[in-house]
Amino acid sequence: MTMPIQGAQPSKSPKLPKPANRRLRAFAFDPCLSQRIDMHDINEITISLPWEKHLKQGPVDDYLEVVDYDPASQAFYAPVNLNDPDLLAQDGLPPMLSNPQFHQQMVYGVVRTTIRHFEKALGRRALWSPRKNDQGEYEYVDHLRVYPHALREANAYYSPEKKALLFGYFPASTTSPGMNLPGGIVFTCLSHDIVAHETTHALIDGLHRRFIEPSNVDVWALHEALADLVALFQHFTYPEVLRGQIAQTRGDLESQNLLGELAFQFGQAIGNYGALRSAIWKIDPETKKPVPVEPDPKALRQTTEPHARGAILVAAVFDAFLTVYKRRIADLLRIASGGTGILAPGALHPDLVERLAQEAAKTAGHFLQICIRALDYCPPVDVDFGDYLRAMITADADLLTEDRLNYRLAIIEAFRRRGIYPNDVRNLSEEGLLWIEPSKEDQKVFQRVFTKKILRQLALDWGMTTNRERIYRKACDSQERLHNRIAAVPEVAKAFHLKLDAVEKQSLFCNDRGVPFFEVHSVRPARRVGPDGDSITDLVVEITQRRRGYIDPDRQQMVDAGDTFDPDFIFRGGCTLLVDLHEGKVRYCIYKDIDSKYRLERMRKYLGGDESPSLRSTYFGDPRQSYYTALTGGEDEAMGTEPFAMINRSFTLKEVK
Amino acid sequence: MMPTETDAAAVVFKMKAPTTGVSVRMYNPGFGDCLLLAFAGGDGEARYVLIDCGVHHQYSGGSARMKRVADNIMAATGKHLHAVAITHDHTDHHYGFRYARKTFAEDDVIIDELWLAWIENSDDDLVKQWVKNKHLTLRALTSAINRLQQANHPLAAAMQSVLEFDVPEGFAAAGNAPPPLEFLRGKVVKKLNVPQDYKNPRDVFTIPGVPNVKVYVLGPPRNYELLNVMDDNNEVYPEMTALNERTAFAAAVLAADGEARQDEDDDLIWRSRPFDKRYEIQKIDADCKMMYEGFFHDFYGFDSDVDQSNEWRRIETDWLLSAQQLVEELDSITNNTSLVLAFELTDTTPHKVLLFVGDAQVGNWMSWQHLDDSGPGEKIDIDDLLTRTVFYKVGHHGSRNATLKEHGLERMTNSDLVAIIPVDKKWANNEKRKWEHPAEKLLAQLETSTRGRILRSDKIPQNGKKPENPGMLDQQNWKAFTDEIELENSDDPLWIQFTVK
Repeated sequence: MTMPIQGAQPSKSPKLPKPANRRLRAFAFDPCLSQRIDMHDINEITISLPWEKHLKQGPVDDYLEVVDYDPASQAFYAPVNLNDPDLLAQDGLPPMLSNPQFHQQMVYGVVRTTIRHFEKALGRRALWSPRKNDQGEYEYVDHLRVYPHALREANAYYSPEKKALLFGYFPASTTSPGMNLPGGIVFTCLSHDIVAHETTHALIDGLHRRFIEPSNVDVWALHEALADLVALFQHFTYPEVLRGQIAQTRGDLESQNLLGELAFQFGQAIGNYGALRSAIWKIDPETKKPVPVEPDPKALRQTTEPHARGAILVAAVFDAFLTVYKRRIADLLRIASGGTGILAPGALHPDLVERLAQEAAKTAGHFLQICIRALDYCPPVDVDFGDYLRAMITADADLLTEDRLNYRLAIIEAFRRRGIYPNDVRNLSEEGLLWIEPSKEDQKVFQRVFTKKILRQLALDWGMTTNRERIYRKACDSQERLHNRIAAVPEVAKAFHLKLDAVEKQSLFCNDRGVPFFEVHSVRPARRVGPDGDSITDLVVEITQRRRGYIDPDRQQMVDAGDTFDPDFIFRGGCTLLVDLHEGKVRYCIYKDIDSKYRLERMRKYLGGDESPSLRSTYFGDPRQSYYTALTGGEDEAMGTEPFAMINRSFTLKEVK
Repeated sequence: MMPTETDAAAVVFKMKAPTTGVSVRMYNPGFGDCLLLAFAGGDGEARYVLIDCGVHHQYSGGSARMKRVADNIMAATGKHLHAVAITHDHTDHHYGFRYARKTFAEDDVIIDELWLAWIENSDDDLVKQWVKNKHLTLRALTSAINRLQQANHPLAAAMQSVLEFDVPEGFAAAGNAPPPLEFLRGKVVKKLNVPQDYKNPRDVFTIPGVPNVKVYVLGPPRNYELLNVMDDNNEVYPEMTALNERTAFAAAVLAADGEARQDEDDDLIWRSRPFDKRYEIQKIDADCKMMYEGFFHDFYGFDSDVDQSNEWRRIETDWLLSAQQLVEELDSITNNTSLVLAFELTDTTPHKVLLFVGDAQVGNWMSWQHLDDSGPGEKIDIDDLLTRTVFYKVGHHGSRNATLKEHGLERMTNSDLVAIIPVDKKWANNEKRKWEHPAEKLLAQLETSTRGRILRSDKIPQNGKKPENPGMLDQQNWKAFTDEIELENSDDPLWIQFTVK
């Protein structure tokens, strides 16, 4: 007997709903951890991504393209097709080291998750930084390229030049293999934290492409710190990872150090990468157990290596996170302990475990959002840790007027204890750290630029369903309109903290009429919550200028007076404006003056300083100086250098080892 | 043969030894170390020790200059060197024995002893591993740098010049004449046969015929990590090259290079591949338009394509850049194998110390801290030695990471401290090299520690003038310093010397 074929009448079958999510399996930790029996159960997570209908083999989608070429082995690996019914039915390939297609799947899943966190926090679509082509024009880059097996070394980096993530693999050390099989291959693309870290570099570059310029000691360190923070908090947002650990190490709940120790374990699992090893926890030489590190306010002054310096910022934010988490679970502990707050011995109730994990995941999610949102409140160039603290506080105050759980207080306190504070504020209170609103006079000037007409013309549809290339084109268009408007009323320069007068300082880059160039670097929407709880869209505008910089101050003066010399570095200034779209009012003007003597001197000292006494800098030059040599030799972008590869390879600390 | 009293020319040039202490003559062969020490023997005759004799092989005119240096050494010592110490196997420390080999090879030239570190003993198991690894790494690096050069990579030239410390004239040329160390092994009277003939840290010995000097060996440490080799002698397959980050990279480079590849590499190449063969798609197949609906064509692109719009994103050479790290590592390891000697003058009070560190880098310096731990040989209190140090031969031509601050210079607290730096700043810092020799910051620290008493081989005053007082010492003390200086009176002086009494 034969059965009638059901699918033979497609026209009559009801239309099926599209799936909401695509689920992909991945390692939660480094694969070496799954070889440890106690970690095995929790090392697999399932990443849930919004259903991407354009997903093709590779995987390739709207944001990225995974291309698996391994030049060291002279081999290509076949692209995985996640739409294969066999894979759809089992949430993708099961985690395994031996199949490159699983690597492609995992790296795709983690990169996509990181992008999603950025988009959620910023309330708009993420764009990659544009590429300067051979003709010197900026080009839209639709896909971040991801090479899961690009290098045969313990390294992984984001290449701003190729707009690509390059992941390496290497045999585990035979002398100190740790948990790894000696000689067994370690793949950096299978470490959730490394992938999230490198993706964050790419996303920040998409927002602030001058943040890869080492104009002061904090810039590279901030890049590294944010990449670490995003990786860490993103990791904490998987409740299944936390659940097992909380149940297992319940004893630590009294001392409430569990999450810190967990973070430390993460750090260990991925080797030196991850600031957490040294910044928050260290191994007590006697007990061989991790103990918290007391914050040292002097450490910041003595630490210049980008990863180590970034670690101090990571420690500060993580400290704040722990403070808030403890506050959030205090009531749960009281409920579970009959009001004493001291838990009875024995295993924890599964419900309590679940609730504790949820609280940790929720708090981590908030911190992730705070860290990312702050990026819209940073100056466009020459950012430092103090700026970032102010940006975090202001951005968060814009989102939640009432700080019920004292997130902001916790952050300020944690930064203060590590000696991180801006040098231009009177006190470290919340009000003191908020960026200052422009004066009434400046406000009048701003309104000459941000007229109702102009504001209407600036396209701000960056919605999640809008085509990204269209967003890019419209943004370019908006930048040009705004540029023309400002150029038409150069007398507004002072309020913007720009130099637009035909020249007083000749070292500024000028057009042929002697008027300093300025670039409207970015025009984008930012969402905040108004006092009434309604969602308001602000406009973020970034404007930059550049000037020839010289290590020798006398030479600088000569050039300012009209002499010409090849510059030693490019000195940048500019401002970030947050504009209230309804009133055309500039809420904040966050600026770096292009004629700031203090900043210029700071940059000279930093570039001239000798803070990386490695054999490498003896032979191959200092990485900071190499960056500017490439920059001044070429055009506006430092071609031929890979700043992140340089950071990783040049300093004693490495991201992967 | 010793010169006779009537041999007037030789007598004039002969280097005298002070009655107590030692005279140290620093030659200026270009960029390289060459130091001649004269001690007073118990019989009243001088004893000569030559520490290094080299010029960098890229130094133009180095060969001619080195021959002049060799002639001067012959005259100064009466063709009798009581000991020659070669700190490590780099051209800027031993190429004198290549360029002026004929001079040193003459029958009437006598070299009594050759001082080499344990690392030069090729029978040592640890050394065998290191040499094997080094050879593999060198072949791979040469090949990797060639490829970067073909791709016009801006770093290729810099990498090449650092690599050349270890492979001076490429592998091919090395066969023509015996390498300097081999020449010396053959020439020396007292041959190096057993492990004890080499210098190990904690060895303390005397110079034959010199009663009042003790020589301490501080480095190189017998440290596996320092050499990047395995410390496990019980490995299952001792013949197999261990797979690690370095060897895996080397294997990848050699796999693609038909000329550099040797049969013995096959096993390593096979073991270092990340995936099973069945997952690999060769380029020629990936290039096929049918393969995965042309996926690799669309997203990677090949040279055969008409459309090269993908070219900017390809990653053909990026991975080769980890060679930079290896080049540096190799150079650092060889520098770290430097024989470090401290000479203690036991006829002075307190016993003064002269420190010669070769090109020792951080790892070597750090190991001295443990010389007072239990272990073979005599216990050495490094702090005590450093406090008594009055003469310091600055490491690695004054680079930043070859003079430790906290564990080094800051402990050389003797108020009479003198520093000498064999260096040629102009040559090292030129457009092509830009090496930071000497590093400004270190110079400043040395200035402070020595209160200006620094002698540099590239700054020997002309025509017999004494060095100028930079102003950190009063005139009387400066004069006391310059009174101990002698130098060749010429407009291109070949040497300067200082006497520690």
